[in-house]
Amino acid sequence: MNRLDDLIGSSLAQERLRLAAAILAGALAGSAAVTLLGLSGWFLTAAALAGSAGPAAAAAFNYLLPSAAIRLLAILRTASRYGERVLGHEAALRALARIRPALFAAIAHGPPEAAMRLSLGEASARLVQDIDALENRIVRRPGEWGAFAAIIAGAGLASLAGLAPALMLLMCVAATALLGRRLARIAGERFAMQAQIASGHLKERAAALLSHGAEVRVFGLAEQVSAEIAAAGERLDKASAERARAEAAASGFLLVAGGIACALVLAASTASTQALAALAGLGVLAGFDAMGGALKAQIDASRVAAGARRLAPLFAQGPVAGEPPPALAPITLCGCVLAPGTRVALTGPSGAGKTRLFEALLGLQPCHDVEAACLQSESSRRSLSFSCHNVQRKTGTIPAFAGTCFSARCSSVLINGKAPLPASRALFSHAPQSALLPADTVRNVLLLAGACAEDALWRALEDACLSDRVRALPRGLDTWIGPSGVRLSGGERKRLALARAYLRPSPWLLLDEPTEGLDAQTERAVLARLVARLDQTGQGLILASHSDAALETCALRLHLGQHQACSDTGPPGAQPESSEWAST
Amino acid sequence: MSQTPIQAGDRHPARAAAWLKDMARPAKISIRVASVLTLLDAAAGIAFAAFLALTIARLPDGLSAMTLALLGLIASAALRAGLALLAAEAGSRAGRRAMLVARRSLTQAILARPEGELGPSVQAVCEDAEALSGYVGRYLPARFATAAGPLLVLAAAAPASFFAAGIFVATLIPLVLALFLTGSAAAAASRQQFLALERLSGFFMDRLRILPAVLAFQAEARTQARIALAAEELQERTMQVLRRAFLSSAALEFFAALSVALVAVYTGFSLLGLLPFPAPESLSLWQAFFVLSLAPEFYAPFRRLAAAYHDKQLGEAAAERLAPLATAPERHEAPSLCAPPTIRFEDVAVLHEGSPLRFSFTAAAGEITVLVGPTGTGKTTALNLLLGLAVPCAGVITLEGEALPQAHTLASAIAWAGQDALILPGTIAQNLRLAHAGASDAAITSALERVGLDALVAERGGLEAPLDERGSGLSGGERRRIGLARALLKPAPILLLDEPTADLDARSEALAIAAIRAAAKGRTTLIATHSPALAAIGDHLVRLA
Repeated sequence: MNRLDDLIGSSLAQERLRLAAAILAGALAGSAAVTLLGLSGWFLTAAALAGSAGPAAAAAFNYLLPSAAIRLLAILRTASRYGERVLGHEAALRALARIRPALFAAIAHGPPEAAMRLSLGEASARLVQDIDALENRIVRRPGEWGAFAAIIAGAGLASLAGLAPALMLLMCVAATALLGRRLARIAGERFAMQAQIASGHLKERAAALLSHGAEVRVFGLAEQVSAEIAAAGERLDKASAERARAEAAASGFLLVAGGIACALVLAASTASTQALAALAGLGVLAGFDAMGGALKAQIDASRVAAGARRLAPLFAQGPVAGEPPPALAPITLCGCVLAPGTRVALTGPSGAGKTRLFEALLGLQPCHDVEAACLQSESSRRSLSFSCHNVQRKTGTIPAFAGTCFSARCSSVLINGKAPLPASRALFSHAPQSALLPADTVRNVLLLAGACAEDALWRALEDACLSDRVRALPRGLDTWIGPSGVRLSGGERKRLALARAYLRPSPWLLLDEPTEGLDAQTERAVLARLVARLDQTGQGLILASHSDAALETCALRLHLGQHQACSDTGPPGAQPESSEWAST
Repeated sequence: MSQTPIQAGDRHPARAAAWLKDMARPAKISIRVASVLTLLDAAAGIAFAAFLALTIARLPDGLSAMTLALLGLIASAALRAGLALLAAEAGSRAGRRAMLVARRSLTQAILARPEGELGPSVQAVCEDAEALSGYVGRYLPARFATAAGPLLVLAAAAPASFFAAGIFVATLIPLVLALFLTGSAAAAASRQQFLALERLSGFFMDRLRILPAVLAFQAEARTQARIALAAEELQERTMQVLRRAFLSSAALEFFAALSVALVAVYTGFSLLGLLPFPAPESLSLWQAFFVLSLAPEFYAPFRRLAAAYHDKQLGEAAAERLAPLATAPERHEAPSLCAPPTIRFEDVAVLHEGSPLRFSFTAAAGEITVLVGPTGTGKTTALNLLLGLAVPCAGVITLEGEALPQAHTLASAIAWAGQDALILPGTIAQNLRLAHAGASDAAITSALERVGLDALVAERGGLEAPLDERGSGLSGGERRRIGLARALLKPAPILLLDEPTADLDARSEALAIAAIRAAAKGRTTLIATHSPALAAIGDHLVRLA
């Protein structure tokens, strides 16, 4: 038993009554269906015998009871099947409504690397598929009991025709169940594996080929490229067809097995009366018919098992939350100690690790070795508390940014001298580069930062230069922004993420490319309000940007990734192109 | 979960239906085969019922009298299984055919439009297209079988017992009525809940996607509570839809059970000779048993259709998303060029990821113009405007003074190379001929030499050496040089290069720059780059900001 099983078990346990009722209804429906057909067969055969024996026998035949029973069974079958479906689904869905949040909590409190991996599209899509498979399994469970009851009812009817037909039926059922289960599993495993590989391959090919739009146009390759994608799709479709084939084969297998069982039971019933043989024969058929669902569930068994295997590690223990550090705790970035209230800009080419540094501060990524250089402006040096350890000191004249330059090669990101813990996230308010907006209303996007009054929301939007835009939205704060904020432009998404970061009262603001995608005028306005806000709140700022205007808000710069940043000839590196092109 | 939100306002059922029809057309034969096989399956079901009745009728005469009927019973069950398998196979073939056609046409339409986000396109081609499998492969044959199957059963039942056939027809009328009422109620419920259900079922995955933000804001408990709320609401709304849907299958079950009961009671009383009305026909046990075991058969096609109903809904929902994607815009002829043109961007404005970019510059005829500027200033977008991958929202681009239409075909007059080259499975020569089908081996060899790939070709064993679909074994630099060689090979008056030397070491860059300089002769060349060395070969420098 792992924690996933425990979770499913305890969620289902709370639905015990409903599940029991569903199983009962399923059993009733299954046995009523079998009995209805069997009794009908018995009734008309017995009636034929009585009819042919003469008017006296016909008159003595008790038709009232069986004909009433037939009508009753017809109603019972319908009502109990409906009850089984409604109750079974309700129980399963209610249990699942508890599993989802618990699963989310497990992931959120687990190792952050796993959580970061899951936030990528492919991994989360896989996770949702696995949960879906698990859900299907839970929903189907009551139905399987119905099949079991149907078989028992069939055997019961056959036993009326004698011991031999009943034994024959049970033997056939056992053989069918064993063989069918095995075959279904084999087919299911084949399908699950092939389809998974083919699906990944198709996605990879489609993403690779569709991203070459320019070459496709220029060289007229639309035909070839679409044929390539279609061919990769065909591979997946063939693998998926395996599953359809497996399901059809399962139905076919049951048909043949049911036919053989029916023939064998009838052959074994020769000692009995014609009417009871009819009862047994039809009972067998209805019983086998009911086994279909259970057999098909076996096809998915390996998929469900593989999904459960993948879900289980999500319950791994994450890092200890720890004690939140004091609000005035200093932060060490690549050897530079930053006092509270410091404004520092991270610069460097794409891929130098600016975003990773933010994630390391938040304890979302392990810290990696980053080469960095600290640059401090002459004018602000006195007002800042600033020191560097393990640092080589170099001096040089840097055209755009006169000051002292320290170069450090240091992997440490420390908060109050210690490695970041989940609890130390309390120090930061983060506006990530990719905005990371939930599919929700503007209000709920903002409230991710914590409970806030309505006027605080508007003030934050104002400071992000977004309040006019939100006011103009059809439903204001309650407008749905779509998945990943598709109803907003790139710049608006960024500013919404910025407003959200403003709403969290934390000692440090972490802004990752906050003005990317903004025109110059809006950028100036956003930055002016940022500075005003910082002056007012006294928050520290760690900012990553390629934009000169944004960098100017910071007195201190930390350049990542290139040694030449501090050489006498090179530019500071924040804008490698700009100074060079000036002379061209 | 779908990436594209569907609003109640932007649904086009007619267009979606037309698109579904278009996709099903190439699979027509397989759909027919599947439909006919499903009907034959019903015929085998009738045979099974006949043998069953015969077996029961012969039972008193002992095992030897029954043998033939028993063998027939098993044989017809096997026949049925075989036919059902073949029908499923034909249906799956039809579905695969429709998906193939859909993926092909979707890819072409996506490639023909201005470049959009990659994610939704990949989702459309990969996942949404899969919904056709059930719609074409299961729903369409089931619909046909529902129309014809019951008639077949009726035709078999009527000679045995005319009255029982009448009972089938009589229960059919209220059944169809009940199915229509409950079915349309269920459809209305699911339509009503569609948007809410889609949002709620995507809620969990959406919050996983923003998990880093949830952790950074320490919003784990808040988010968990909202997921719990959403999950509860999802459960309640799903149950509302399901209750209606189950009601419709309960109606089906009820009438199926009712017809079994009615046939059993009628035939039973008829055999007893105790019918309360004058007997319309005289029945033997064989006939009575036959019509009784046909009763479930009569309703089987309806059951199958009900099972395929979900496929229908999925197919239609996917069609709603895909039909608008599948129509390629019409493209206008670009001005024809016989010499390298002067290209002028006059106050051209374009939306890039939602924010506006503006361009005003001239690329002189036959000369090299270099576009520079920080990331995000639109170097690639400027090139995309000429390729038709981006569409200007204001301003005009002129070639030799002639304005370029909005959706145009200028790409055919352009040679292009970027950071990554498209490699299709085939030989090295085939991959180069993608640029110019008529290129001679000598031309190809010379293009490869000019980009410094001759050593690689020699090492791999000549021009006919195969490259697999991922171009595996090729380094990033080698792939890029293949792209560059292609751009050299295509005889086009315009050459566009998008960061052709990014991440190359100094030696390779020098080699590539020499090749570019040679290739630019006699063409109007635009290069977007960060590299000072490459920019140095430019006749003109345009700074974008």
